[in-house]
Amino acid sequence: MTIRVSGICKRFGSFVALDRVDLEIRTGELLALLGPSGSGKTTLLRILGGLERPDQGSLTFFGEAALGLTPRDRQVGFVFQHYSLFRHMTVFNNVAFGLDVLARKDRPSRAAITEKVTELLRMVQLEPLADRYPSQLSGGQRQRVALARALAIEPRVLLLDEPFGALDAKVRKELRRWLRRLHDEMHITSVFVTHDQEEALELADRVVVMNRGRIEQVGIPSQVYNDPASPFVYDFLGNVNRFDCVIEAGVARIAGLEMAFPAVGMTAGPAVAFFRPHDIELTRLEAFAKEEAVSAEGASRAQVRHIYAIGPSARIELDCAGHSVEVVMDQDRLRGLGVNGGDWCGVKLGRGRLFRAGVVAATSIDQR
Amino acid sequence: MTVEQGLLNVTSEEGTLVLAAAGSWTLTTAAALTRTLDAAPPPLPDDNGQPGRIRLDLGQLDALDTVGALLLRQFRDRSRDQNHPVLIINVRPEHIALIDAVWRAAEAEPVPPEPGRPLYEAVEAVGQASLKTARAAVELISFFGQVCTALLRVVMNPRRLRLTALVYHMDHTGLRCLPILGLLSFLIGVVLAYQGAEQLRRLGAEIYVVNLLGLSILREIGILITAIIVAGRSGSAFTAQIGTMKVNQEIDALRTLGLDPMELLVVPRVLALMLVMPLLTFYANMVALFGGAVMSYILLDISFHQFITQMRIPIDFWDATVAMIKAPVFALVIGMIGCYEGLLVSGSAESVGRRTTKSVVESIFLVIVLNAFFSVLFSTIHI
Repeated sequence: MTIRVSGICKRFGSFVALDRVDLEIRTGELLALLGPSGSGKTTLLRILGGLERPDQGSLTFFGEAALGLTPRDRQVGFVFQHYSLFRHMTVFNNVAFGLDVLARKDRPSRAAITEKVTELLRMVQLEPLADRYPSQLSGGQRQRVALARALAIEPRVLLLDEPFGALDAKVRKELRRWLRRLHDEMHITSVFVTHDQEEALELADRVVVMNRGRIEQVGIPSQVYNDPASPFVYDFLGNVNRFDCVIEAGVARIAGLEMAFPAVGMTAGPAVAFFRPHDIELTRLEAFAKEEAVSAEGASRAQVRHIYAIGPSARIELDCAGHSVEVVMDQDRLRGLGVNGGDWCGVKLGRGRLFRAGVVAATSIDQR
Repeated sequence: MTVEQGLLNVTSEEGTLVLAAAGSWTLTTAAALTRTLDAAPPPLPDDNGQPGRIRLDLGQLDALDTVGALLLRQFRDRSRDQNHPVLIINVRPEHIALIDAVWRAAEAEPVPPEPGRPLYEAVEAVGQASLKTARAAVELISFFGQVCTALLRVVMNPRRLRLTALVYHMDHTGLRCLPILGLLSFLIGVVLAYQGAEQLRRLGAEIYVVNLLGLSILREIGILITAIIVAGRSGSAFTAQIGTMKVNQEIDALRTLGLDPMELLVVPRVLALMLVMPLLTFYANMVALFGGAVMSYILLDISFHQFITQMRIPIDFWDATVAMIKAPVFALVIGMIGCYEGLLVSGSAESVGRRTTKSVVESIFLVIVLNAFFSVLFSTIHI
């Protein structure tokens, strides 16, 4: 185990930024801290990096208590959202800075520093720009310089605070893949903070989902996406349809809809059901008996509000007795159904998950 | 399962709009009901041209809470204001008490806010402000301690000093300050001589203008004008520079590279200012005296030679040097507050501006307070 965080608390005035957080970070993995703003993810990263002191709790790096150590002694490399390059230094000097300021006895020779920096710049594909100043670089290039600067001191752990947050969508995607390749080559233990769920799921080995200073779930991306541990995780990761339900006698009914599904073993009371847009099916209206709200197959009547058909899949917005429902399906299948805006059709909820409100209890729904 | 829904069936009879409330009129349904009520059509006038009436039937109402009762009340009041009489019928016995209570509450006079107690509030405000100031003072003093230890570390181990940064800041705070400082000091000397000459001429004691100028400029005015200009020029620049670095997370970046912002940013600035300030003060003193001499020559015909000879009489060694004793102290205060406020910047660019203003005000305030303190101190020890 590389880093162990246990029982860390941090308050800013009356705001609780971290509330008894426990986490283990494994050697060589790329870990994402994912959450909305104010969830404490950046605070946790800054505590890992030694830029912030927790009020309570303990932190060990490679089995050694780290809270008393300075950032330098922890040997962490830190990459900031806004690059934080030194504006009056060239790219080369920025990268070399961490080595230049070492005490004389630890400092490599001038030639060794030059060689090291050149190699790092080659790795981040910026070798020809070594003599430029940060203001002459694009955002993506600056962020790569920042990464090279963080790597120059040969850190044991690399911490990245929303590294792609200030970049445009295309550059962000490229840089994301590039970082993944770099990590696969170097295998340096890395932690990055993001509020972009797509980025976290695509890039990370494991994802930590945070909310209001607590960790909601830790797991590999597919596990977090397919098997969310709490309503928050379901809501936060990807598009989702949310229905308020009431559980009565082992059956959950969606408020205001004639739809129900089994809720075996759950106590009666209010609950929330989640269905991903691609787990909801559309059927043709002919399947309904006349004037019936629910067809024999358990589909409900709904009216198509909008169809957004861009790319291979189409997003359909439906009005189902006042509830807004989003469905995603292949363009071809939609064309086969022959449904257009304003038409009526049937909606059948497929796979989803039911959470009992106020209690930690959940059950899967599968009525395909 | 029953769905909680508030319903309002609208039917129209001749000259009367019949609204039948049904379902539950509660907090959960209030938003939808408000819309429904707003959308209800106004009753048509009857055959005689009288405004239409509204009949509100509450017989089908299943659940009602205070919000629902208030909605009914608001609807009735609004309709009355539009001259549509409202008749409420079929109220269920279990709802009577609630509707009664809510409607009475709606009619009640609003409770006036508790009369303020200005004396208590004033005392409380003073106390809060004092505590805040005390806390700020404690923090500033602890920062002073940190600056002192950092300075001491550098003095003990001069290799740690960043010479390039020191020279850079000496250039910016010292050399580049000369033109503006010279002009202002000259004008101060001119003004002092002019005012002094006006008064002393009436007594026939024109020559004492020289004493007045010599003592006031060398002991107080020269150092004060220098400190104020340096605070406005360099103290604010320190805050802005360090504050911008803070906003850009450059300070954090330095710390992750194992560097102490105190040693890297604060020490060169404070030290540069402490070295440069006595020189600036001397320069300001000389230029101000020159200004005074020029004015004395023009107004009173006192030649430069006469001016210098006369100045030797009242001015002793200490008069000429107290300002140089004060200068490094003021420099420390200005540089320290400038850096301190810069490091306190958090988050936004707006904060940089606020902190910069605060740093200038604070340092000028402290300089003037310290100057008063020095005056008392020097007069007690007779220098």
